Amino acid sequence: MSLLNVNGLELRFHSLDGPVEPLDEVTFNLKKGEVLGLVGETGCGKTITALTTIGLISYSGGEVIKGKVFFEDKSLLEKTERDMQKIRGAKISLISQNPMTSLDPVYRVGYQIVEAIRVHNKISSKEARSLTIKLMRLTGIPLPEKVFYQYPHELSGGMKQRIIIAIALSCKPSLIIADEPTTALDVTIQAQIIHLFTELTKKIQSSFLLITHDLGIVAQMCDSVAIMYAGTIVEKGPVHQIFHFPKHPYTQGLLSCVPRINMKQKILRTIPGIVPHPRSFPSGCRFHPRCEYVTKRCLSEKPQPVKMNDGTLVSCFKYYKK
Amino acid sequence: MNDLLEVRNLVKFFPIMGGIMKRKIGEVKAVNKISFNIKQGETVGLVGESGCGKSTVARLILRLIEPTAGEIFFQKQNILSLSSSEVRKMRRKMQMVFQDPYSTLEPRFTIYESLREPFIIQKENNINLRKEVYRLLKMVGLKPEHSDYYPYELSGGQKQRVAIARAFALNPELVILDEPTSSLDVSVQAQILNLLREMQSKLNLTYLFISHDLSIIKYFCNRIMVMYLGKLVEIASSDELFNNYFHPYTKALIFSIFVPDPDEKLEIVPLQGDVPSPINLPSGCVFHTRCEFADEICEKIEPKLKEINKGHPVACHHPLENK
Amino acid sequence: MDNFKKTALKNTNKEYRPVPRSQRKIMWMKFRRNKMAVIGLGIIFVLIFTGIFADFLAPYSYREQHLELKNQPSSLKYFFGTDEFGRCIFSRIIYGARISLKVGVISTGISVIIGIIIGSLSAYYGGILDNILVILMDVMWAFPTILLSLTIIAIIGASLNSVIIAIALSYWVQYARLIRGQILSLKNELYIEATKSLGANDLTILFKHLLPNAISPVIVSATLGMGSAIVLEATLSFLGMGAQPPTPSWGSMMSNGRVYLLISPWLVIFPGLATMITVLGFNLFGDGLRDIMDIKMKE
Repeated sequence: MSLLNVNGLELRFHSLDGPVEPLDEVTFNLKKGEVLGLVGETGCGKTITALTTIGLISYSGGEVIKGKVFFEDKSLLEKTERDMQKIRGAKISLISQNPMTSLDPVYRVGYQIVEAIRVHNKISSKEARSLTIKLMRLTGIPLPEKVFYQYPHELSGGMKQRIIIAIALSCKPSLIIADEPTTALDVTIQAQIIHLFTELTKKIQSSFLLITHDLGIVAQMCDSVAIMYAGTIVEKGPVHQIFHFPKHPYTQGLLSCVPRINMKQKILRTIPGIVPHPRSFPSGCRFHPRCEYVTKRCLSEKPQPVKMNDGTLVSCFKYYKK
Repeated sequence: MNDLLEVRNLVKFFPIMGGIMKRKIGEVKAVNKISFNIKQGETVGLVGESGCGKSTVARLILRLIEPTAGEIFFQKQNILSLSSSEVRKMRRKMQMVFQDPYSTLEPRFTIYESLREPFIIQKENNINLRKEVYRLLKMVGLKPEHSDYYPYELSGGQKQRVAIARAFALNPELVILDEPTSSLDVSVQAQILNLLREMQSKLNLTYLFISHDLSIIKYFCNRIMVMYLGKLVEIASSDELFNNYFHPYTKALIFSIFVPDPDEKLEIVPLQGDVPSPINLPSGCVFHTRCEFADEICEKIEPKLKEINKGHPVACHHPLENK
Repeated sequence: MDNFKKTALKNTNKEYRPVPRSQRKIMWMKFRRNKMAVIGLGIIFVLIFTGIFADFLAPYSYREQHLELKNQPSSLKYFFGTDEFGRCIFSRIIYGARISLKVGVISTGISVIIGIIIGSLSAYYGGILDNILVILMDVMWAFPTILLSLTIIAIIGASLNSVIIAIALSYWVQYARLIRGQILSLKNELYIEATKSLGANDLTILFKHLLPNAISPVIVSATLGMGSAIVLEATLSFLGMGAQPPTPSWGSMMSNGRVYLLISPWLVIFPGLATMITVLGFNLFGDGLRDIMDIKMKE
């Protein structure tokens, strides 16, 4: 039961120095009721992938040159902007990174939730208001009747993020895309919000696409993980397999360079080198200059995803059968 | 081992002006009577969430801002009584690496111009600037070519390396690291932490590492100070803090960490509610509004830092028992 | 080490550097796209050229009088005709460019310097100094410019130099406010703090770091301000408070020619047109500058 299917996605951006194509056949699948983590570091392309799925990439100057996006078995890339507007907010919601800038500062927060509801549903404002209060309670906002009338600047970061989540949930979407939803929040508040997410995934029927660079949050929340590097998905699979039996050298490197409080670490194993610039991706496997297992083949050919016995897919020549 | 830095009852209140006549209508109590020592060669971590005052402490120690009250001794000298030219000399020995690599370098200067600044400002006239800059670049893992780059041409990690080179240019004794890796990717963060470790042993440095990330602090520091709303609530060595914490806030911080292991999921929410505003501080113990063990005493009386185990002071009326 | 490992390592060491274009080149490339701005720049160049080479360009002297040829319309001999004293209007317009340039550049230059000094001291040191200076700026800002400049000229006497001083003293406030705003926001930037922590003193920070970063909007404003200065000079000279005869300021030309407006309008039209086109040139150029500065700021 695939809810969201992204297949072979490639984009093109134009700039003063010429066109750049950051993605390389990005493919992943999100099942109904699943929480998929799209993990990668800055510049790996996870945000632009998410924006493309809901048709917002043209606003950032990008165009799709290859690939398909299927949502509930219907192709999204061919839809008109009008059709996409009916889907956004109602069937697919986006929670973006910074709660500070996602709320309109001149409107009361309760009103913004009401507005989100009434854009997609023909109900009276009284009904919308009571639904809003319910939603605010669901997201753990204390005294919702009072907070309803407050302005964004009167609320803390954590409260603002809860309002954003309430807006995202308001039309019972089948898919919620959360782009680094807790990066701007304090540690203890982040714990509250992630806990809220985990509870919500149990209560409501939405599926989640969680985009983040934080491996801890991924381990906490996700059922399956897709690891992105320099515009390609290098490994994807169930969360246990990825964390306990990482196969791709990048995944292994990533997991070993995070400080952990439950381990004694003398030194952090790092991945040598830096992420390549989108204008000069290495030939062949994009990770090869930093890989300790590099072979001749890696310099000239691009590895295709190989299906492993435990259900993961790895794009690395190490796992090609002889 | 000597005390390199000694801070006594440090206070910083920021006045809030308002009203038509621009009078003082309130204060942000950023740092509220803090005392601690740092010995030569130590790596001390200062951990707390945003608004707890840790960055303010860093700026007070460097005298980038003036304290409202309290004393700061560096190498047994009271730095608050220094004249401005003596302060400039002191700056050679105490440096800071700032949080945001994207705005820490002058955007109009090339890397060469940014790195020679410390020498020019401190009037080091008898040296070959080019040679020094190349030496600094090599020290932080960059190449001589990078000296012609502008900051916008470098990645976040590379910019932070330049910032580190700049801070270490004149061989300081104490380096304050204010969230040096917070805006960096995980793999870059590991590289920078390793670099800082390497530099510490090469140059015989003492570090004060400020962060909100307890995992990094545990890895990097040998002693940790926990700060909440302008107050130090617990101080202990790294191992002692994690195995034997006493303050409920320390416990909350430790249990807010998501470990990258799907088998170690957090089941309970450690702490409810939001951080109170530093303008309207809670009475008594600043933490009592969010503490599940708070009682009347906590509401009325402010707990002082008291040693529970050796070298492990805690500011709490009901320190935790069973772990 | 294997060959492919060597190649791989080489790839790690090979870094991509985007074409190192200096900020200036990028700005020029963007400026070029704005046709109106380029036209404005062209007009300014013509003005500068005319001013510098007036001696070579003007067919006649600006003060040579031929009373028998007074108030004659345009002809092949006198392209713009002659004025009430039989002087060649074309030549006077050309020399007038020099006056306008002189006034525009010097008065704006003085204004900007006064503005930078007051604005940066006010912003950097803050406190009571800032409060006093802001009140001063507000008071000066509220004063009608013409009244202020007339008052100054009344005190020091009417001449072209007093016009320059009067304009300079009337227009400094906008630059002061701009610099103050910029420095207020810039002084909290991290790289300023970092420079302070290296031990830099106030003067170094102000001149080496704050002002170079704060100067862009002032440059834009000064360009536009030159147009205003030229207009103010024309106004003051028109009122008889500025250039004294026979100095061929465009404003005084219009003033003196006013009487003959209905019979020999060219006495007024040509200096008027010259003023208009000059100010237009500065405005177009200044707008173009502002557009590229905005993009730079947005980036």
